[in-house]
Amino acid sequence: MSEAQPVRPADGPDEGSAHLSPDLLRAYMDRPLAEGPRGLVEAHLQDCSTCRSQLFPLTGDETAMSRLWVRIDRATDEPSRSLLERCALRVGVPEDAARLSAAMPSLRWSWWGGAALLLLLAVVFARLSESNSASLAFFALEPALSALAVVAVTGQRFDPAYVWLAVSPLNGFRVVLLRAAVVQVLSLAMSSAGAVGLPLPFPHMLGWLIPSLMLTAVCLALMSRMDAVPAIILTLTAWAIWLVFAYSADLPAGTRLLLPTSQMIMAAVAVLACGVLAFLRDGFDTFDNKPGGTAPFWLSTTGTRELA
Amino acid sequence: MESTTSQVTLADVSVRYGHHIALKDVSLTLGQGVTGLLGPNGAGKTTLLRTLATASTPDTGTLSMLGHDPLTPTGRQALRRRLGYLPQNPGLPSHFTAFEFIDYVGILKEISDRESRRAEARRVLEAVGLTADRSKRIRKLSGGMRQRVGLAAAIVGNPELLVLDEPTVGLDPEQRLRFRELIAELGEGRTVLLSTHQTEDVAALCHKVVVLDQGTLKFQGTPSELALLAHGRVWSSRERSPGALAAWRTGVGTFRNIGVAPADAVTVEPTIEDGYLLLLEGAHTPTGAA
Repeated sequence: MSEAQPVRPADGPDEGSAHLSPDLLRAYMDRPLAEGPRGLVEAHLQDCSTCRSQLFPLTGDETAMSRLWVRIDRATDEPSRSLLERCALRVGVPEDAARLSAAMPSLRWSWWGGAALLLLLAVVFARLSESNSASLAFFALEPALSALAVVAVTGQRFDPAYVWLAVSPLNGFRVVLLRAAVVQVLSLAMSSAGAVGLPLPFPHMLGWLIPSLMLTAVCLALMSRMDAVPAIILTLTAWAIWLVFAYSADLPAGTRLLLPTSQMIMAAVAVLACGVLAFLRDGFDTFDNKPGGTAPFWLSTTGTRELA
Repeated sequence: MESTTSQVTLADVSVRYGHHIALKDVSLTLGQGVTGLLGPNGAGKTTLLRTLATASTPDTGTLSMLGHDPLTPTGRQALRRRLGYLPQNPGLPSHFTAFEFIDYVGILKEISDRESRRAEARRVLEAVGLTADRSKRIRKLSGGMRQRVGLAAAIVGNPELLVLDEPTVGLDPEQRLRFRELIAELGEGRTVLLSTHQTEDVAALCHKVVVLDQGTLKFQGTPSELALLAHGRVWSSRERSPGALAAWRTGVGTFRNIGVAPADAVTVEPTIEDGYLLLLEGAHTPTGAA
């Protein structure tokens, strides 16, 4: 990287900036530079006429120079990609789908770091505590965090560019599903890694999986007809009530959530929520969640929100 | 309701937000060219634009836009391929560069070929004069530049119908002039609906003007017809005329009065603003003098 440092020319500065050394310009022309230094050189060449003029003798002719400019122009316009987007591209996801699924401003490292820390603390607490219900914290937290993550990447108020999506010909429901699926997969992968540390046998250690899918499905179904914030508040309130109801100090992990009957009920609720979501999918197609005359009148809302 | 494929027709469109009626039985036809939408705050302009932009759906009424029915999913999708919308406060992701954002909007507009999308992004950014700043993060752009990014996003895909919600707000006079030039250019061969508080913009750009107030349509016609509403009802005086519906001191120290002119008043040539004010003041005055 040291060779990418610009130097100040002997004959005085141009446009108030430092300039690229002749050696660096030659290196740029003769052999491929690493992505970082190449980007620095190209960014500098965009703004500096002196360095551009020094580049001309190295290219040889006008045609080569034009080709070079086209290359620089394209390199400058290349969007910067997040780790998620780069991974998606590497596994063969089309560029536009990768961009759509990764262009989620609320999907930040800080969120994942915070969620991972909370789950880790829940695992540590479960291992250190001698209480029978010590794993309950993990079972309560994981589905809530998953649902929150999905809301954060699909909720209108959390995406400053949502209005552009809402009036685009793309199917809003599919984009929401795509983003929700990406976040849910990442979330489940992280939680599965954490659940291995719980002092519970398999499959009890995965008792949070169906609740997690249930909460996400319920929340998305509610979001087809209301804003993300009331949707997540309603969902988490119902989840808290269900947890209180399911608490039992006599059972492993202190909760009825792990009983087959409970798991089946939650799976049924998840399936029902998915059905409702599919039925109300038009709500994701307009900014105010109104179905656009295709749903029965009793499903139409009269509320609205201000555009971002 | 009949309309040609280049027309936008609304019939008896109403929009309610709870108990508040934002639009009431609005019927309107828009053709090619720039149409100005005037109205005070809360008149329903943004609701009308959102309805036309398919961001909202009306509670009652019918729409035919470029030959499509936006109240059906298929009609809405087909229309959105031919529609550009600039919201009043366009949400722009601040961590994107201008080019990245326009490229993203290109994806939303279904331009899946990477090179075509990049070429389109370059085209629209050049159209709004942002080529040199395309690599800057949006958070580092000035308010005027962001507004231009929004307009660039609205014209991605060369839409036949453009819905622009107060695009000149917050721009300095030079930027406004540039915007006017651009919008006038865009109005050639397209249907453009431009919401604004600036009657000068309407006078400079629009072949047709629509006035909304309290959710109802008060006027639709040419700008000169709007000005003509105030013909013989605008006069100058040294003092504020007591019978005037609206009066203000001009730069030369005289008062410009609007209303029913006294018999001895010296009437002056009305402007669009006079017609607009008379229309609104008349509507809001219990005596209905206008």
